[in-house]
Amino acid sequence: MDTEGSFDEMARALETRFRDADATPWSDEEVEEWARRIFAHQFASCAPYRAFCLRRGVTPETVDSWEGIPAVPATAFKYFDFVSVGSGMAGESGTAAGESRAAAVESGMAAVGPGAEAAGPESPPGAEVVFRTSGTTRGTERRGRHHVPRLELYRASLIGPFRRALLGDVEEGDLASIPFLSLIPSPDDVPDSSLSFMVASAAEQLGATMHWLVDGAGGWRGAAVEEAAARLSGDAGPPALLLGTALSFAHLLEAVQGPAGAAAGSAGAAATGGSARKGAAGDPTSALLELLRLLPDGSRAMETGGFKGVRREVSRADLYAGIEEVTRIPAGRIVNEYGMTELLSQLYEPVLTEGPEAKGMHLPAPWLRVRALDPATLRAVREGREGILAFFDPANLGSIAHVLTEDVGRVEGGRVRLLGRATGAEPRGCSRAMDDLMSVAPRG
Amino acid sequence: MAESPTPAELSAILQRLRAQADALRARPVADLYRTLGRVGARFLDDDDPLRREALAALPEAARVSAAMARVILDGMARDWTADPLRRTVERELDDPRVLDGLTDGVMAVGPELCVQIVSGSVPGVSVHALLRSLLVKAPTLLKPGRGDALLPRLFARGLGEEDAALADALEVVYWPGGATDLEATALGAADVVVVYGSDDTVADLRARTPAPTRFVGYHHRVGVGVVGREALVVEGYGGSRSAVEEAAADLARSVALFEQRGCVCPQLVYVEEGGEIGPSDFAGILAEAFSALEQELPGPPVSLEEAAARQQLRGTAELQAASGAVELHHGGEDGSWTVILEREPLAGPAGGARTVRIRPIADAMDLAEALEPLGSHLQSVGYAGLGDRLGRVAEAVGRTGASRVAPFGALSFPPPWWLHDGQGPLRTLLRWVELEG
Repeated sequence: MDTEGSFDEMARALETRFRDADATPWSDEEVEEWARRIFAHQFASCAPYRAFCLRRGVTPETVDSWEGIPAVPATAFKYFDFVSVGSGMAGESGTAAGESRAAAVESGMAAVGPGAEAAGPESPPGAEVVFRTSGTTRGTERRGRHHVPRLELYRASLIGPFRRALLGDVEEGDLASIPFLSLIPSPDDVPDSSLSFMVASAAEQLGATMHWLVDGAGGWRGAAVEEAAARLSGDAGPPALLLGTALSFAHLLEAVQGPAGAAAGSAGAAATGGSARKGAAGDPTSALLELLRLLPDGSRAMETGGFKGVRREVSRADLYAGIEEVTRIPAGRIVNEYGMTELLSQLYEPVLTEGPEAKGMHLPAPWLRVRALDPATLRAVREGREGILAFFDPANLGSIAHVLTEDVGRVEGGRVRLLGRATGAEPRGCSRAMDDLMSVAPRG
Repeated sequence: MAESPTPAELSAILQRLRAQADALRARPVADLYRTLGRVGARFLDDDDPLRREALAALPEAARVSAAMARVILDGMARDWTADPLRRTVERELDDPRVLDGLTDGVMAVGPELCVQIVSGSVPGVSVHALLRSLLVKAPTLLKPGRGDALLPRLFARGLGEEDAALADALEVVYWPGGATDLEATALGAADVVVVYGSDDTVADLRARTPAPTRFVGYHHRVGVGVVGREALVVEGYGGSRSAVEEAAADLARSVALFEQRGCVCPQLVYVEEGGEIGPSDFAGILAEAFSALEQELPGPPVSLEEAAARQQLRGTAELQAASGAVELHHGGEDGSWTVILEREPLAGPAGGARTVRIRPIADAMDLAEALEPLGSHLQSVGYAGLGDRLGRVAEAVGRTGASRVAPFGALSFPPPWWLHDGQGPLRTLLRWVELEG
C-alpha cells in the first residue's frame, strides 16, 4: 500500500521542485528523501519491478540509500512495460495478472515460436504516451518502450537544464524571439520519439518559434526551410538554436556540400533515407544554403546521439568541423546532449556557460544522480575510474527511476565523461544473436 | 601482409595477382593440395615457429584465452593439411583432374582473380576461405576481419617459405571496415567476389559488385540445438558419466568454442519434455557443465563494454525470472556463461559469449516448425539423444533451412569438405566447360 502519497501528489511536488530548481545539484539529503518515497511507490505499484527487488532481497524497509535501490537494465524496457501509477491495483502495470509469469510473457515477443506474433503492447491505463527507442534502419530491431503516465513530469524536468545549457546567455525577455531550427522531426510526425517531444515542449514553454525542417522520414520540408529563412534577419537578429541528431547533421552536410563534401568524405554514405537526395521532390539545397547563410551571429547548436545502425560513421571532430563550415557555429557553441528514451532527465555539455574546455564532460540535471559501476559487483567505482553508467532519475516517477545503462564512462565531480559509445552492432563472426539488442538507444 | 594501402596501391596488387593466373592454372591440383597441406601441417607441429607464433599471438588477436586458442588452432589447422584438402576437392569434384584440363569432356575453371572479404572474428575462417580459392587455382586477395587477421598472415608467410611462386598468387591485405574506396577497387577488379559477414555487409557489398561479376555471400547464420529424451536419462552407457551429463558437456563445449562467435555455435537449444529428466533440471545440469568447462577452457579477459552488455542480459533475465517466465543460471563474476530456461517462448536480449537459451519442446518432430522463423539464418542443428528419430528430424529441419545436422561434439569443426551453408564452396567459384561432339 502506497502510504507515501499518491502518484499525482508526488508528481506535482516533483514538478514544482523541478521548475523552481536552479543549477545547484540537489543535496544528498533531498535526493535520499525523494528516492525513499519514489522507491516505495514503484515497489508497490510495478509488479515486475517488485518481483525483481524481492528476488534481490531488497524492499523499501531494508534499503538505506538510493544506491541500494535495484537498478533495471535499460534493455529491459524492450521486454517489460514498467508503469508505476497506482498501487496494489489489479491493473497496476497494465498486465492482466500482477506477479504471474503471464506478465512477462504477454509483454514479451516470441523470437522463435510457432505462430507467435508480436502484439504491440496496449498502453496500460494511465499512460499518456509511450516513447519508443529508435530501431535500426531495417526496422527489425525490437524497440524499448517507456510508458509515461504523466507528461507534465517530463515537461517540468526537461526545461530548466535545456534552457541553462542552450540559452543560458539569453535574457528571459528575449527567449521568445529565439528561432528554433530543428533537424529533428516534429512529434506530430513521430509521436513516439521522446526527443521530438522534448524539442517541441522546450519551444512551447519558452514561447519560441519552432521550425520543423525535417519530416518523419528524414526528408527536408522545403516550405519550412524557406519560411525559416524568411524569418531570420541575419546578424542583426537574435541568435538561432539549431537542433539535431548527429545523423541529421551529417545529412545536412551532405545536402549542402554534396556526398563527397560531407565531413571526412564518409558522412554522405552514412546518411540514409528521405527525399534529401538530389533529384527527389524539390531540391532543398539552395533554400538550405540561404537559411544557413542567414544564421545570426551567436547562433548555437544542440547535437545528440550517434550513428546507431549505420555502417559508416563520422568522427565527432569531423562532424563539428563540417557544422562550423556550413553554419559558422564554432565547436564551442555546439552543445552535446546525452539522453535516452528510458530517462526523462538529460545531461548537457556546459560549453555555453563554461567555455570550450567543458567539452566532453556532461553535466546532469541537478536532481539526476549518476554513478559509474564496477561491472562485476555493480558497486560504484572510485571517482574518475571507468565503469558502467547508472542513473537515478526522480523524473522517472511513473516508470522506474534507477536505470543501469549499457554505456561506459567516468564520473568526475558529478559530471560524466562518456567513453567508447557503441555506434552500431559489432558483428560476432558470422553469427549474431537472434534478438537484436545493443546499447541503450539515444532518442531520435 | 599489407595494411591499408591506397586505392592505387591496391590496384597494383590486384593486377599483379591476376598476372599469376596462367602459372597457377598450369600447376596440377594434386600439387596444390600437397604444397598447401605442407604449410598447414606446420600449424600442428609444436616445434614449428609458425605454430608457436600463432599460439603466442592468437589470444590477444582473437580475444580468447590461451587454452581456447590452442583448441581453435588444432581444430582449424587439422583441415589445412594435404589429406583433408584432397578430400575436399574429391568430394565436390568427382574427378579433381577437371581442374587441370578437359577430363571426359568436362573442365572446371576457377576465376583469374578472386577477392575474398572475410569480416568477422572467428580465427581461421579466413584461412579456410583462401585455401578454397587457391584450390580452384584462383589468384586470391584475402581481406580478413580485424579479429581474424593473424592466421592468414602467418599462413601467407609460411607459403612464401614453402613455395614462392604459389605465394605470389596470394595476397593478404587488411583495411578497417568502411573503407569504401578500397572496397570499390577490389570489387571492381575481381572475377569472383566472396563475402563472409553480417546481412548488412553482404547486402552492401553485393549491391556494389558489378553485375557480370559472380558474387558469393555467406550472411549471418545461427546455430541451434536439440536434446532428445534418449539423452535425458540418468543412467550412463559405458562411461562414468551419465547420458545427460555427456550431452550437457558436449553442448556446453559447442557453445563455448570460439566464445560463441561462430555460426556453428548453438544459441538456442530445444529440450524435449517427457524424458526422465525435464528441461528445467537439464538447465541446471548444463549450468554445472559450463562451470566445469571454465576450468578447462577459461574465457578471455572481458572488456568493459562486453561486461556492460552482459549485465544487460543477466539483469533482464533476472527480471524475467522474478516474474516466473524463466529460470536463470550464470557464472557470476567468475564465468561469462549464462543459461536461461524459458518456460514459454520468450524474447530476451542478445547474449554475450557462452549464452544459451533453453526452450522446452513437446517432441523433437515439432522442431522444424519451431525453427521456421529463422528462415535462411538457420545453418547448424546440433543434437543429442534423438535415437532412431534422427533421420526424420534431420529431414524436417533440413527442409526448413538447416544445412548441417551434427552431434554437439562435432558441431564446432565441420569436416573440411562440408557444404558450407548447403552449397559446395568450391563449385561456387567454378565455371564449367563442356565439350560436345
